Amino acid sequence: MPQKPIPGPDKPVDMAFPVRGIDLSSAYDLQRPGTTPIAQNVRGYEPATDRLRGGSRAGLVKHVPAQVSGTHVIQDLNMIVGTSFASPFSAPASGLGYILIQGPTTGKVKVVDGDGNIIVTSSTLGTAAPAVGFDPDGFAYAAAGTNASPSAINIVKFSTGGTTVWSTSIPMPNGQTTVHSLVATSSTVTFLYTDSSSRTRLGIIDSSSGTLRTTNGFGLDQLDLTPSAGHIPTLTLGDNGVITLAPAGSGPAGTPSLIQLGPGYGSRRDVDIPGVNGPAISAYRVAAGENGSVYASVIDTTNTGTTYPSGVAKIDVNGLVEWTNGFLHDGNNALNWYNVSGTTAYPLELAFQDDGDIPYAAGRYQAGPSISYNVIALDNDDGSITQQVSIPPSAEVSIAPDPDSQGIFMAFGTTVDFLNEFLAVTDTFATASAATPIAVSPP
Amino acid sequence: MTVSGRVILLVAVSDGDVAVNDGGPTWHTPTGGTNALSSSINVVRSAVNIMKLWFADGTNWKYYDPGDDTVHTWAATSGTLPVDSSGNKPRLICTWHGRTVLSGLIKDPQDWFMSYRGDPTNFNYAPVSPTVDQSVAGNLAFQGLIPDMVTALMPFNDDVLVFGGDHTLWMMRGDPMAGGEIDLISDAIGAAWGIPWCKDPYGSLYFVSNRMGIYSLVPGQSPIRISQQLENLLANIDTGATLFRMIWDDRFQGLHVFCTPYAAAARAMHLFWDQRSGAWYTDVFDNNNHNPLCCLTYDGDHPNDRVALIGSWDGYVRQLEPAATDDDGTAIQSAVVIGPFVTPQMDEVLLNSLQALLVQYSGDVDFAVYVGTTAEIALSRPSVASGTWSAGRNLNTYVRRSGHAVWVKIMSSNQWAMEHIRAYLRTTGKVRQRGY
Repeated sequence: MPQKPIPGPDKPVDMAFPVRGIDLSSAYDLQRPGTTPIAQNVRGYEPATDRLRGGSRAGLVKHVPAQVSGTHVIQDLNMIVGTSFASPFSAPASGLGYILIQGPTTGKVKVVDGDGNIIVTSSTLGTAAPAVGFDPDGFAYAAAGTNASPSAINIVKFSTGGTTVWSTSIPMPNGQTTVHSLVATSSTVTFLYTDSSSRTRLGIIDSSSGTLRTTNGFGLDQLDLTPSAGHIPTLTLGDNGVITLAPAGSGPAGTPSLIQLGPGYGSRRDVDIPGVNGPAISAYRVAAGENGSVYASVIDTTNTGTTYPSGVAKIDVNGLVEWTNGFLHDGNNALNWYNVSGTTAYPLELAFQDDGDIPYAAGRYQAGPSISYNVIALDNDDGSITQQVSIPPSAEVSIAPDPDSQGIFMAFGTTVDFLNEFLAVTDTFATASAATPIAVSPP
Repeated sequence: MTVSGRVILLVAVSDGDVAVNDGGPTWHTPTGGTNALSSSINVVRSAVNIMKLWFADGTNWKYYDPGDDTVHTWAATSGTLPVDSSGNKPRLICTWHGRTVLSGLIKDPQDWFMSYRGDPTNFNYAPVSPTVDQSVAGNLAFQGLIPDMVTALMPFNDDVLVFGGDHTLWMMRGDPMAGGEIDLISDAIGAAWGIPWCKDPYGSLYFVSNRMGIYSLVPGQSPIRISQQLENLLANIDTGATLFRMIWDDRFQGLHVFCTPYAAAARAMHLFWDQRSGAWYTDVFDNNNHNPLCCLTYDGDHPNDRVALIGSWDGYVRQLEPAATDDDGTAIQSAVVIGPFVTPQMDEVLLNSLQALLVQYSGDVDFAVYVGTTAEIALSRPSVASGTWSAGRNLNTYVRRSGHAVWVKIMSSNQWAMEHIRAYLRTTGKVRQRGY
């Protein structure tokens, strides 16, 4: 910027980030263009999008959530690559991990281990089922809003041993506040909520301390969302910190079906998913995949008759539809997905297992006249079904990746938000058909 | 299982224990891994050869074999493992041309030792039937000792092994058992102790010199000093009390230079060099535990696993994560100065207003304006105006301050990025120009 002539009064001058970095070798007055004497913890290519525009540097996260040997310094790091190592990491026989079960009306949550043992039951957090999630370190979070004066959002963090790490209460405007969804990283917890003025916002808190960072996440002061019963807007966390949000309810023809937010994208992005019956496709659930991709379960709301065909779409990091399955490529034929009870459509549940890059879906499946309730594994390259197991009949199923990367967990129940049984499915589906569901009463 | 069947194990040493991670959330201690190595030193070095990891800590002979998940005692199957006259063991190790190369003996600091090719347990320098693959050592080979204390082993490719010396640089050109020679690269530049080097994917080697210059080197050419812009910052570093590590970060296409006090967790200033723009930046971790004594470019299958890893003082292995908004719970205090605004005619400049465009995801940043009769004075004075900018397009901020030089400083503890900032400036006339 130095030595730039400024002819005349009040001329605009662009101040760009000094992308040529620190230079302490010249005169102060003759600082070379694009350089600076001070540039601490910054980069010219800002890390989130790799654009040469300037920003803060990338931060640190734990690569492995556990310490190597207590609080002693790491003396050396190295890696070995091979193909025939004797694996010391065989799958555990039981106790695949943990699951969170929400109380449909009590505003409580239970942490349950893979054997069905209840680790902890929370206190009442709000007036509706709490939103729940795990961070990569295995800590569990639950958040719920209250309908009171004053109103608040209450959030609690548990260790998987059941210890309360912290709890916090965020004041809200008086009236019903509802937390719809929650995702957690090692550094932040992001939650989607609707306040008493029906404004839908993203809140972000520090996951280590519980300190509120903002209730205006990513600079969005209001999202155009209309939560309705059974159609809950969903957040999910993907690669590079991408937060993906699926709106609730179905929109009119041509309405964007997916909204993606977060540092990995930098701004809101809308994606249209084409359907065979017209463009009125509504995304209901999302799951984060590899390389910033996401999977969306969608329902074609323009279909006539008694069923609403649904399917799964994979959307790449650029917001392009990579593949679709179910009705989306087959039309109303034998491979259609259905997830219908009367006139009310329920979403297909989705989960993505990093280990093996396997997308899973769960819901009601119809092949011709035969109806079954299934969990399926999909081929990540084209969306075809690679494995399938039956589960007990259920109106609602919830699935999630197992933290130990051994498969998925699912919980199911007889009514919406009444998930009172669960079982674990390994990534080979070996135990699912023989497994006896573990009954756990809701908190 | 991956498409190729590739299995990647991350191996760490802490408190003398060897631990292994396969991408899961925990560490696994192999058989014999507990107390396998010295816990009384802060740094251990290792090198992979024949899919086993061979350690050099100056005290123990150990290697880790993932085939049976065991840390074994490293014993010679032929010949004798190298030690000095007091029984001290090597502290420097690398793999070069299929050989495990050792050096850094306290009482034999000029010597180097190379195992049989493909067999780190064979240190027989005089086999009955000599071959070009046999073990070789500096004190017995015709190439002789390095004429300087060896401070670093830098394998460049199969033909070139660079020996860093205390104040010299040498290059083994060709395998010593196949006519290779040791050539002088420089008798004016040495290398810092340990592993103060890394390579980029394009054929350049980078290292920290004995006198705190940072150089790039392509064998066959003279080292090129790339830290000229920073000499003032580097000059004050105590090379005897600081451990230097460099690592190439493919995600950010640059190299990290970690300059960490060796004795205990303490405040440190690290460097990052962006190869694409040739820019240097300083990095500071506000949590002293994060200053690394070891690091690694981890090459996992998953995109999230292709990262630069650092080993921390608190026992955790951390990675540089583009989406992370802080340093594992500790805020990142960033600052950059833009300017100075001066004119060729040395006019006084009136900064009327500023308008900032930050990116949509940006957190808030604070800004401050500095003015003075010279750029040097302006930067040393208190700011004359300040404020806060938020994500997106900000309102005009009226400053109305003048000086012969104007700087704008941006500071934040949030994750932020900017598009650009527009300043409205004018000169204040010839009378002011002549004044001070």
